[in-house]
Amino acid sequence: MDLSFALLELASNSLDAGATLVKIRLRVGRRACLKVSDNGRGMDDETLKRACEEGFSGKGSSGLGLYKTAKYANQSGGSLKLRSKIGKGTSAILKARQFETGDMASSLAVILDDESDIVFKARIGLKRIKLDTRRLRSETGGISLSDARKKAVIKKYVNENLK
Amino acid sequence: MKKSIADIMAIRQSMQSEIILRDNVDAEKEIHIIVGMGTCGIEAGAREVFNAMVDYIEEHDLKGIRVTRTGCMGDCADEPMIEVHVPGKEHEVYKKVTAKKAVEIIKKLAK
Repeated sequence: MDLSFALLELASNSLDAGATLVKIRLRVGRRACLKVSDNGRGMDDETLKRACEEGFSGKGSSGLGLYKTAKYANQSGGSLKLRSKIGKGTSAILKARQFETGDMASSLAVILDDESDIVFKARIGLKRIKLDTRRLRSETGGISLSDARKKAVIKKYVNENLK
Repeated sequence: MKKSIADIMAIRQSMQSEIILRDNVDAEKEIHIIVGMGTCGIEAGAREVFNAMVDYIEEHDLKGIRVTRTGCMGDCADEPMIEVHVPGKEHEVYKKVTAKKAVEIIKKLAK
């Protein structure tokens, strides 16, 4: 596990919750803070309380994603905090002290598609990047972000700007 | 210029050759590959499989192939799993896919 896999786990949950907008904010310095917030269906209090339990799932899956992500955060000297409201969405804030950033571009390539928009703002050391698929779509005449070649272009762009 | 606007401009520039004008593959002819991306899939290497296909498609300039994620496909022991939808054909499911196998599948589709 690294921050890029944590991003993939959290954003995958957002998409599985029917989110049409996923906002990701990443700050990496001596410590790291990753926030993923969405407008998905959200969780009730009982589900939220149990969300990070091993084997517990609100969607019929393995129930390991949030458990492993929270474990990773704790082992790295940080934490994973979730907030959620039914009908409004969920936000997850992961803090880490000892971490690897990982391959952010590969995780982003996976979550880009035509069903939802992604806003990705990252600051890694002195490097900054902002990717807003709502603007990208409107500025490019509605390109398909499910198309593999478009994903590859965005991957290259993210890699060039973050490495 | 705001950084975000500069970013959009840069991506748009990179996409000049990619923009729909040159990319008008019929929607009915598009191949769609779906990769199981539940935690089980991710742990078994689904992200690498996904990106191996994206990279190969880009390197070989293959048009009209959509690659998207889905959640757990229900058969965790057989992850990574991919579903290949080719218009006019029955869809195919591949189990325990590796990055190498995924590229072979794309090569076969591109023939």
